[in-house]
Amino acid sequence: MSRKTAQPSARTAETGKPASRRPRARTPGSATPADGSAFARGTQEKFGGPKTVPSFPIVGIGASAGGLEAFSELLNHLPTRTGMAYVLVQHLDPTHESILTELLSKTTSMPVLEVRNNMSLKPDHVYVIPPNTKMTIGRGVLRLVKGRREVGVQHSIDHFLESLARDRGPQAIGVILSGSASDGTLGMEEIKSEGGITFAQDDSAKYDSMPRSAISSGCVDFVLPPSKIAYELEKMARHPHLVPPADQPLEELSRDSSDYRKVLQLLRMRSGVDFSLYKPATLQRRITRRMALSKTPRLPTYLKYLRAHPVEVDALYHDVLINVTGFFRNPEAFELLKRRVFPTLTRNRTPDQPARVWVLGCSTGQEVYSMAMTFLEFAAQAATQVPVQIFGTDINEAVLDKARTGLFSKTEVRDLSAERLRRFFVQEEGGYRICKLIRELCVFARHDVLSDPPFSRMDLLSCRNLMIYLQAILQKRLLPIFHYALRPGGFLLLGTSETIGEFSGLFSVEDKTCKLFSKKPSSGRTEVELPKGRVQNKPTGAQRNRPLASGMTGEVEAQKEADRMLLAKYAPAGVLVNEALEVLQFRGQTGLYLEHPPGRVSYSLPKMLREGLLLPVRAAIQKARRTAEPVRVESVEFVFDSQTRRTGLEVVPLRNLKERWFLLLFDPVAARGPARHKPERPAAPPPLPPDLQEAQRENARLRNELAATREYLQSITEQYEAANEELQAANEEGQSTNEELQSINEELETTKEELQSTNEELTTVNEEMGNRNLELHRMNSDLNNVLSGVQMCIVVLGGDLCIRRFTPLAERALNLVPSDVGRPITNIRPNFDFPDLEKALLEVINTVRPQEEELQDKDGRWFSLRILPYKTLENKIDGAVLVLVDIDAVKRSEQRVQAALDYAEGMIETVREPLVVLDASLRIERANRSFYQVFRVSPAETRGQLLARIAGGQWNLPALSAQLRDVLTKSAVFNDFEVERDFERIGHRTMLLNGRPIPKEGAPPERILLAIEDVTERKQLEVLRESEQRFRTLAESLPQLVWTSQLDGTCDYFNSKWADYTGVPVADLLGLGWRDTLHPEDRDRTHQLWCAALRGEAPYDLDYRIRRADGLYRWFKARATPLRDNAGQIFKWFGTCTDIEDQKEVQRRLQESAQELESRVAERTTQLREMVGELEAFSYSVSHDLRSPLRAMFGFASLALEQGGEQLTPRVKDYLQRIVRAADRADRLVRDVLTYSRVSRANLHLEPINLEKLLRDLIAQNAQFQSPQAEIELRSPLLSVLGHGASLAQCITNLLSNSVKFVLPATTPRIKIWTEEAPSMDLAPSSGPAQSSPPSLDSARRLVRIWFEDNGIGIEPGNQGRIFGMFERVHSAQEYEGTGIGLAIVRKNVERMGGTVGVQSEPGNGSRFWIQLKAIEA
Amino acid sequence: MSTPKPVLQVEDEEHDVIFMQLAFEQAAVSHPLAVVSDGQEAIAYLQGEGKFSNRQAYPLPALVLLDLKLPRVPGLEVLQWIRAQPALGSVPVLIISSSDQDADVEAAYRLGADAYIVKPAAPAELLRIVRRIKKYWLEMAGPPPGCADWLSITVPRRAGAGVT
Repeated sequence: MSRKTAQPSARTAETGKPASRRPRARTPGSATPADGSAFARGTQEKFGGPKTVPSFPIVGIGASAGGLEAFSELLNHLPTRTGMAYVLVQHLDPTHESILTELLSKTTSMPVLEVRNNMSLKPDHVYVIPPNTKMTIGRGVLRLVKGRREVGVQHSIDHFLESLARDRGPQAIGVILSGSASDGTLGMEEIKSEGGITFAQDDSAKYDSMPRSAISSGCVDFVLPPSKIAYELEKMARHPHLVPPADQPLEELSRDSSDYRKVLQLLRMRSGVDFSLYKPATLQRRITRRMALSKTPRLPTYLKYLRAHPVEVDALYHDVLINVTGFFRNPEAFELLKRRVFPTLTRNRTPDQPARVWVLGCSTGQEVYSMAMTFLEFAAQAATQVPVQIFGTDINEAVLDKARTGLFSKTEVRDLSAERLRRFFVQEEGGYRICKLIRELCVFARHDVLSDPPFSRMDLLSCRNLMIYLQAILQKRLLPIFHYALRPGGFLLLGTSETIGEFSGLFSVEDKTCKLFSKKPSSGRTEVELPKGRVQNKPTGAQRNRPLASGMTGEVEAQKEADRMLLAKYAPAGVLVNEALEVLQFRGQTGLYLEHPPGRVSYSLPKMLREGLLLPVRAAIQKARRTAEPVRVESVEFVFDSQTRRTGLEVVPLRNLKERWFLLLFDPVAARGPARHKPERPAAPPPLPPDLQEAQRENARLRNELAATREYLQSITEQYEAANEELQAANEEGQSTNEELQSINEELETTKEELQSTNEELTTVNEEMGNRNLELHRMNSDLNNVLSGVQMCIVVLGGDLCIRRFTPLAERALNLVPSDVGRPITNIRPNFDFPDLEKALLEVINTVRPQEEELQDKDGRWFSLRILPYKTLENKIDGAVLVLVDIDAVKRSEQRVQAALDYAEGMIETVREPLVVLDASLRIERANRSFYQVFRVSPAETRGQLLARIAGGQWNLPALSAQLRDVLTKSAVFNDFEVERDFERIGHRTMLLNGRPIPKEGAPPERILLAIEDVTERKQLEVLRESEQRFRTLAESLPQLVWTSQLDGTCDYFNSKWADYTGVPVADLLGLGWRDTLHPEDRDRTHQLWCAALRGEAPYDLDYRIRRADGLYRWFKARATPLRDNAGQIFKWFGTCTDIEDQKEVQRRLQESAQELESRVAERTTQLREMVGELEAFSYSVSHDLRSPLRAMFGFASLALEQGGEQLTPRVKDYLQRIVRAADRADRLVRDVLTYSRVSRANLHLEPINLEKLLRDLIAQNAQFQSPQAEIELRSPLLSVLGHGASLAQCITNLLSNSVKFVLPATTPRIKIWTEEAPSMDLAPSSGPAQSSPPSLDSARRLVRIWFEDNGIGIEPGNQGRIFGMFERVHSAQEYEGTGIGLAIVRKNVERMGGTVGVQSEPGNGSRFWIQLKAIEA
Repeated sequence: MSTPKPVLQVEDEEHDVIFMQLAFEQAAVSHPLAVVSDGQEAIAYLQGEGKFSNRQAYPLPALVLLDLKLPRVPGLEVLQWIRAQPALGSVPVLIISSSDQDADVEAAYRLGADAYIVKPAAPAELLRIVRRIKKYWLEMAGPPPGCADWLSITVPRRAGAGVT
């Protein structure tokens, strides 16, 4: 039976408050029929009391993507007055305001409100969740919790629906509309389990994953389009399930109602489960729910409906057994198991004694698997080898199927830690499957603990939340069964709200919060009422006392038997009592001392003792308990049968027992004396008179006779007594035998119980096996079908090379018959020849490396033999698989293709022309040997390469590519495409190319055959012939003497001028004959130079004299140049001799005059140098010596001014000041002149200069460049230049000083400085004569121009050229003082740094000076 | 305490001598100023020869202020000579010249000048220089006899360069 059936009413009659999710624990006593009316009373109170929350159904609607449309449609079809409230939970963008309310208002006339916190619900209103909130409902009031702004996974629907289910129970209706993901499913489950009604949108949903998730969880009652949902809602709105009429409690549902009982009967007939003892509240809830769903307002109607629709009975049955379960529910319980229970279970156990666990009401198996996981985790921690076996039972076969499958959805495993998921589950499509390891520990079986015999010898029994659904009477039956099922010391785990009730005698509490109990050792008083209507022969106390120990077997030992006889015969009567003085055993005849009081059977010793015994017995036991020693009481009087009797007493405390028991013995010996009554002989009669002699004789005779008779009687009596005694003995014996039989019977009973349990277990295992067998069978047939379907010859071999299985085709190929299965393959002679088959097989098995072999059978057919290792699921190698594939056709066509290929190959290779095959992307697919030879490339560097890319791109010709593409696209053919160019490795060549597509059947060609012909030589020959002709014509027309020579220096051609000039016929000049025409003095020189020229050591260029026909020698200039072929090889010399006799003469004269000039220049230069030196020294010394008197003038004048003070007249003061100023100016002039002259003398070493730093330093050092005197702005970044630091600093100082100086009065000088890269010196803009420096040789060098822009008075255009000159001033000294040398110094400095300087200016608009210097090369 | 050692000024320009004396007065230099007007005389003074043989009257100077452009023996030669005399090793030589040419400055330092000062035009400027000379070269604890390293320890060789 599923313990996780639907929760009972969430509301209890006592409080009217929403109950916690789990019903409160009830004492068994309170779970009485009162429960039956709880529902009715609860609802009454709900509607009657003014304080209770308004009760009307609330429809919670969850929607996400596409939900607006669906919900609008739903509202559209909904009448305005249904009496229900509608709450829409829509996934909304948390960052935006929602206009949903507005939109929905248009579709319905009901008021649509956006929910505010603490808003009370009213019927016929629509409520919409605001964005970014989580909403709950409690007592009809909506509460909002600000959500965190997460756009990710939302569970707002689940959140609301769960609270709705708790708040409204059966009055909750859940609707899931279009949306993605799985939000809402859990909430729907909750609603369903609380008795509410659930809807989901059908295929009409735009996004169906959300409704589908709900549907697949099995908790949805109706799957409909929104309009139909509206229709159903409308119809349902007034159903009593949702709106129970206040005046009419559903009496027809009370337990005594016959209709109700008929419903239960129907259920029992259909499902075999008797629900009559289940708590009625739950059942009633379920039934009304089903009534609402089937739209039958009254029970009789529903009953009719049930009878007509057996499917509805099933639906009701499943509704009743709604399963709420999960992994690791109440995790603390599992922790407790790990901590406390499992260590105890595994202690002192060997691996062949598995721990046995029984989970009752396992539902879909989560609890069983949780248990198994917990145990495995424990086992890993504790490193124990003890295995575990877990039995999961449930009454509902459907859930068991799911449990067996072990496949759980993502939602179901969401609470599992990632570690457990990874360790115990395998992810599959559709969820997570429990791993095999766990699955094998668990056995699932249908089992009704109330009607099937229990399992036994369990170490742990978990029965959580089952009993809460059962009436107390059933609970009472269950606990003894649990007690029975457990091994001594075994554990019982109950649900948090369940207790063991009155059975504290059976279980002791181990953990109060987790409801863990352990079995108390049996006291022999356990009344196990085992199910299945067993015949209960009520055994006597003594018999029942026999422990149910399983080790007891039926064999009766002789000794034991004898002991028993002796005990029965001679042992004193007595009783065994426990500490509470309850009789546990009766020994011997105790009837004398004990009697059963009338009324209820009781084993209480005090109640049974005969009058007078109670006090001494109690005192003796008291004493024995105290002293723990046997206590003897010699004589005690008691009343039996209205007579006073005596007896002795002995109380012996039994030792070595867990509980303290006492043996109370009655000693009959002590009671013998007074109790015995010996019959006395009657006294002799007195003597009689004589008349009476006769009579006396007669009398004597009679007496004798009497005596004899008496004697006889005596002997008879004695005999009788003896017989009687014997009988008595026999009787006793019989009695003891009877007792024995009874105990044997008891034992058998026990054994039978055990057998039954074992049987049950076996059935379970068998069922499990059956399932697995079925699976195996299916797999086997799958395999068979696959094998016969593949049409391949496959043989599966075991590790011993025995045949395990083969396909039909293998029979033919390997000569196999079905009986060969099991025989080693080596015994089979296959049709093909493969001598090393065994070796190959063993190798595959050993190396786990598949092998493949092609071989021919006896008929010459080709096969591919593949040997693969056989891997078991555990990846163990267990044999090999031999696959034989017929590849004959493939092989033969392969051979044909090969032959055709060889043929084509042969042709291509034989052709002398280079041939190339290109593929569609113009890559070289292959080329023939000739190609490689001609172009001196190797196959490795060409194959697969683009034609255009190989050998340095020498074939990268657009025209050729176009032609080739035409071949491909239009199947065009081209011939004699000429390519003339320098080829990388073979020089200048001319090639003719022919291209042909290689046809492909039914498709455009994908390959091109390119034939190449080297026509260079042919071409060259033509050219040569032509040029030879041209050369002759040319040579003959030249005024010079022309000749050509071969490489060895012998001349092979002279033009006719030679013959004309020398008068020697050409034929005589050929070879070395020409030499004879040279001047004898020149011959050796000429010969040497000619030889050197031929060796390539010197150019052949000399003057020599040639004899004219008239014998006169004239000077000729002879020159010869080698002629080279395309490869650069000299193949000929070409020489000319030019008459230079006249030039020679002129040259001689020129040389004479040049020499004269040179000596004159040298002379002059020396003079000039001396002069310059003198001048410099002069200017230096003059400037130098000039400064001394100037300083004196300045100094004394200043001193005079300083010291004269007030004595000086203003005029004198003025004169002195003028002297000071004049001296100062003269001094500056001298200094500037000195600087200028130094600039022209000093040698500058150029180095990279960080202009920015230089400028900043300059400004920092000179107060006149700083604010407020001037404002200088540097426009970073300033490029660095190559220059001389000090010189550049001087230049810039001078420029800046000028800019600061030449401003209109009362104007703050503003100067901007920036740099730009000037293109090169050639392009530098010219600005008059200042642009004086000639472009340096490395004019390609990058240049930097430094600009200085001021706001000064500017310069007239006419003056701009002058200002860089020495002593050039464009302003009078009165306006702007200065020496007129500053800019000259700048120019000189810049020029010495290899740069230029210039200015752009307009009067009144400031000036822009620039200095251009070399940039630093990167 | 005896009179401090004199400062020897080697200067042919009379007005420069006057300016220097004025500056010495204004700067309140306690050392007397001894003046010779050419290189040869300078050497004679330092050697204690001829008219300078009386060391009492012409004691060795605490400092030499040397002009470069001197009649008879040029200043650089005098400097070279001084630096060749072990006995004069501890006497600092400051060049005071009207030349601001790099060549002169470099030559002076190469030959062992302790500072190079360009003659200023303004008397006020000269006074500033003399004050610094007094502070650096005269008032800081005088060199102990025989300790030629003193200068190199306390004053960088180019200390005077700052006043050019």
